[in-house]
Amino acid sequence: MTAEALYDAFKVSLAGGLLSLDRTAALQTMVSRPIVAAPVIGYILGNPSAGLIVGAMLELIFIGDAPVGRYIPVHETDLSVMVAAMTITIIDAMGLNSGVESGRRLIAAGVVAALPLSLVAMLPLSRVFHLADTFTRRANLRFFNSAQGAVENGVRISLTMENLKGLALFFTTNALALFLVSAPALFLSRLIFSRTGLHWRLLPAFAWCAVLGMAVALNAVYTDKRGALVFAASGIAAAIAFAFL
Amino acid sequence: MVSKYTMLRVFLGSFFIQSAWSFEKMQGLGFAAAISPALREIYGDDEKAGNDAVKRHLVYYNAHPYMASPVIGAVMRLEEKARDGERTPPAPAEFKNKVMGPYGAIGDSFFWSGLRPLASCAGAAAAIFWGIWGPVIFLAVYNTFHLWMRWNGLKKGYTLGEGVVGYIKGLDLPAWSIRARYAASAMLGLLAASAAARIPVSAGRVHAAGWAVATVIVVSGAAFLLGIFFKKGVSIPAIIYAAAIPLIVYGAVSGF
Amino acid sequence: MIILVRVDDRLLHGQIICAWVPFMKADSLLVASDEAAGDSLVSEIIGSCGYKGLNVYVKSIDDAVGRLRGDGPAKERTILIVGDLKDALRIYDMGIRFTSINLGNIHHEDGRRITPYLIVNREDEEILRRFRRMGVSIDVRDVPASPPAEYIPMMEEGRR
Repeated sequence: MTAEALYDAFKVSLAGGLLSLDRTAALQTMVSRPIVAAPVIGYILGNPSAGLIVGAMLELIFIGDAPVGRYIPVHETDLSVMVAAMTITIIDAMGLNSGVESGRRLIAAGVVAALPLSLVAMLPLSRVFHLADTFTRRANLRFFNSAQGAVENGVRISLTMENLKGLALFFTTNALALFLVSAPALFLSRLIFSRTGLHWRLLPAFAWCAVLGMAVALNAVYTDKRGALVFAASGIAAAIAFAFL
Repeated sequence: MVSKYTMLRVFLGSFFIQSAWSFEKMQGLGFAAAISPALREIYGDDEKAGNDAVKRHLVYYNAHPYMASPVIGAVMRLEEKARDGERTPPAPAEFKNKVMGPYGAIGDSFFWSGLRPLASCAGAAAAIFWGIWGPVIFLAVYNTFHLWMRWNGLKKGYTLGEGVVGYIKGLDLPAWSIRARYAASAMLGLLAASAAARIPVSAGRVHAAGWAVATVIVVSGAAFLLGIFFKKGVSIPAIIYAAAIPLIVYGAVSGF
Repeated sequence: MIILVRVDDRLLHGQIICAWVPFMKADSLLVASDEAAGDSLVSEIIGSCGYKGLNVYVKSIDDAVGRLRGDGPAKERTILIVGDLKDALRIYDMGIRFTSINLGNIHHEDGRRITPYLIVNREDEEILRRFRRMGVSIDVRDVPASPPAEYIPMMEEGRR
């Protein structure tokens, strides 16, 4: 069990570290957003559908927090990676994703039970990710200064290489932080939930997270009363379509 | 004119503008690293002038990462003009300094507050109907505009020089940001209705439609309340704890 | 109506458009800076940040005060942006009253570092002391979501 948890933690940290690069250091193609990162972790841990549910929900909850200026928002990538990994590990531990019993309905039940728990457990730990991130952003000044020193003295160096050292540091600190959190978290999840079966009773907590996600998103895209009307009209039109089509 | 190959190198470099992001210099090193192949080519054999140009651009810089592309393009053109001794255009470093704040604002407002929420809502709604295609749609919607801005912005900047300011203004991105937010609201309405219709308790079509309408109303109310809480400085994590912990405890205890 | 006074050496940028405008429900931004108003390139770019529902004005200090005195529509919920504390004090001394001042970005090379975005020199501290004496509260925050940092004035003499 320990070996399994460690191996999973290793895979998750590596993948999470790479995905996180997209958040600041490189590309910004948004593969670092929850809706992509969580399903990728799901795929790696053998449960993409659970990852997708986690991803869609966290995408909405963290929809509006953007890196403007020096302000650094909650590390949504690492958080989604961890919530997805923990949710899936709990589902596995409860035996819902293996053997004769496995199936869509059971996985859904597992997500309902495990997602709110994982989210509440991981949110305070996102502080660790924030610290790793802040450390990197401080340490990166070193690369700027050494590049500047070389240029001032007329030494011709590759700025690209100096720049990429920052990227390497982003990856290293992030992957380490992820491993530090995921190894104990995944081990404990396996240990605690191996004989538990929490199924639909956690539906209210799950539903709350879903409603919260949509409400945060609506609040974030709110422009004026017209926006609220657009939301209501589209929702009711969809409801009517469900009733008749 | 810089060669196609150099243009491509600058384009690729623009994806790494934040690799060495630091609190003090922010995108400074990334900007210099991205533009330096062009500077070396522009000043050619004049090693000293090339080095001076790199020095000029190895300073504090910060804007929205994609909006660096039109600025890099324009600075390349202005550096060429400076090399040729033209006096009329603004000095490259000065131009860069003037545009970064407002371009940060325009980029942040279009990409972070408009396009990305729209892509998120579209992706989440699509995930309900088509599963794993949701993230694919999210990435497709977002990156079409993202890659267009990086490539087209760089090209336009290089062609127009300081005139790129008029070009960006003409795109009217702040207005598109507002339109994107209306579209995101519509997507959210669809999402709320479909998410409700998907929960297992609803049986039958009319029943599902009832749940859908109820969810739309609950979400509207919750969003209104959230607005009040945010105003009072309550954070999202605090709201999650406040409601989720009691519900989890309830769920766990009611089982025994 | 002024709903926020912001000191920001970068004038208008993402933090204001994406965070403060929706948070304060502002419908107008007034950038008061002699330097920006005197530079056609800068005023053109800053002006292009506006949209239907958000008017952006770039004015010299004198014109901005004129506008705030009632020449402009009084109903607009305006965020007043100045480049440094000196300009803020100038506007206050010209009779435009506000009860709170938000410090967003000040970077004075040789100054005292309060947060990464706030490095104030002796002159700034003097102005802040004056603002305090006049009952203007000091709000150190780059965006509404970040925890407000406390501004503790430097001791009157000596001790840094």
